[in-house]
Amino acid sequence: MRQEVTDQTLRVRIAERTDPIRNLVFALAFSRSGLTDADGARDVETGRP
Amino acid sequence: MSRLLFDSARTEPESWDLLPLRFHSLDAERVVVSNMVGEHLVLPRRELDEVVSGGAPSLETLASMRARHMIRVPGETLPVELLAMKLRTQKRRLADMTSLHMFVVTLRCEHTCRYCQVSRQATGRGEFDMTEETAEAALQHVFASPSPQLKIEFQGGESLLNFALIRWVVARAEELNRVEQRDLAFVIATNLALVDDEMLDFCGEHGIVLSTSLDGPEELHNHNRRRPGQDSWQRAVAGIERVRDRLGPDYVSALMTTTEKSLEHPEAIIDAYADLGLTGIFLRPISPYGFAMRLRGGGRYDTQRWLEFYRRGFAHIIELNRSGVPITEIYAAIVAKKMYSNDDPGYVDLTSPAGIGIGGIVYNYDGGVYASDEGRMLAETGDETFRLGTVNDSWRDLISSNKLLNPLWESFTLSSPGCDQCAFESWCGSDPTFHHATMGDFAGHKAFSAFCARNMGIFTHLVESAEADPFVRELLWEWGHR
Repeated sequence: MRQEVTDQTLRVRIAERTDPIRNLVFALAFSRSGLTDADGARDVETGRP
Repeated sequence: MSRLLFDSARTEPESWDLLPLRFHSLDAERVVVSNMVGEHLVLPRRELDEVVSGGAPSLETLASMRARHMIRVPGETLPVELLAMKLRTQKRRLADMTSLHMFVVTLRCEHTCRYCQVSRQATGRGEFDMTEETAEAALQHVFASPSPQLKIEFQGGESLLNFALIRWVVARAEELNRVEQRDLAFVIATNLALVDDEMLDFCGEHGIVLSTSLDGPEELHNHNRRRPGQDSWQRAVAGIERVRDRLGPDYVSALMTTTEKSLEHPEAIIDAYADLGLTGIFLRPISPYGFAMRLRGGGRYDTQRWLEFYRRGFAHIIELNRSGVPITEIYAAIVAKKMYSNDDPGYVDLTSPAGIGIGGIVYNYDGGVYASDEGRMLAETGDETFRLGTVNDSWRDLISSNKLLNPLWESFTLSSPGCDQCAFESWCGSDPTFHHATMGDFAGHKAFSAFCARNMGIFTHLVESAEADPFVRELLWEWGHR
């Protein structure tokens, strides 16, 4: 139980310090997904470009 | 945090910043640490504490963590770019949408398997067959999916009891594909009891792969999978050999289901596969859906008993490989691909967002459309949570319905309590159907989730096995790079 509390405390410390970078990685990753690229997108109804 | 990263080279700056990382305790002394994309490292717990607190970890620890984008030199931008690129690569299939399309061509079956999750019907009752009209509407959905890879899987009941419709669907799909030019593949899930040469020739002509059930040795298989004559095992084995002789070894694979009776016999089950020359076995627990949870269904065992079965089976597979018999545990191979590569194995049960609807979708014999096969099983017992609509609805309505989006959104592991801080999040997936069925909630409470306990048990076992034995590490690495 003590170990679990220690682990959770450490997780909170890590998260507090790394959350901004985590969000930055997500933003970088999914802003280039191609999902918003009209040229590459397919019509949701027909599946055709 | 101030300390030289590479003492010998003396070329690195003297401090480090943490990058997002997660950890899991293996025991009182060791933790497995993973980065945002699942690259991992086993460390002494005190080393992780030193890194986080800015103390004095070893140079080896710092170098290993930096190589895995768990820490960076202040001001470095490349690790963030690399993490983003790797994450985007892992999730690249999302934009493709649904690739697996399951056609339940009939509910009829001549088996009465103990664990059958659906309400099988007697073989003469044609009203439980899919019609060409329903199949045509379903095919329009198949090709409405933007996925460049399309796999049509025929299921039952016993799918070969409606082989005429399978022929029709294959021909029609190939006709549509002359315009669409997708990468089109077919699979028939069958017990092989009724397979004949004419069917096999058709499969050979159209590249149709057969997936069958084999629960292990004769006695166990025939106990689980009953049919008139009690010859299910004999027919399955004869069918496997027939397919291999006529079409080649790559045209047939087998799946097993673990019943309570199976739990004491992992070695015998694996040996039955090896004796048949099958090079892969998927050690699968029973699915807690539909009729499988009846007392006679053989599904009433807890996760810890199944994990003991899995560990024994995995150990036996390792020993077989060590002695020169190449056989793969397929679930471990899927996980190994996530552990040791940045590739997504595309296995719908270990993805997040979940694979329901957007990875695979089910067209039932009666035209009902389900987000997953498990969702169809739930519907057989009156729970229509995962019934998205019918083949007559538009693809847009099916895919964008709240009945699909809500479970996807609520179970997304990167924001799901208990998953977002889990060291194994990148290797795991979300299973809203399982958690809905067992807990009444799409996300589920992970502290009490059998899905979580089972996967955590497997992940930690694979990590520990690889740490303890270089042969296992090399074997998993090889499985992960196939």
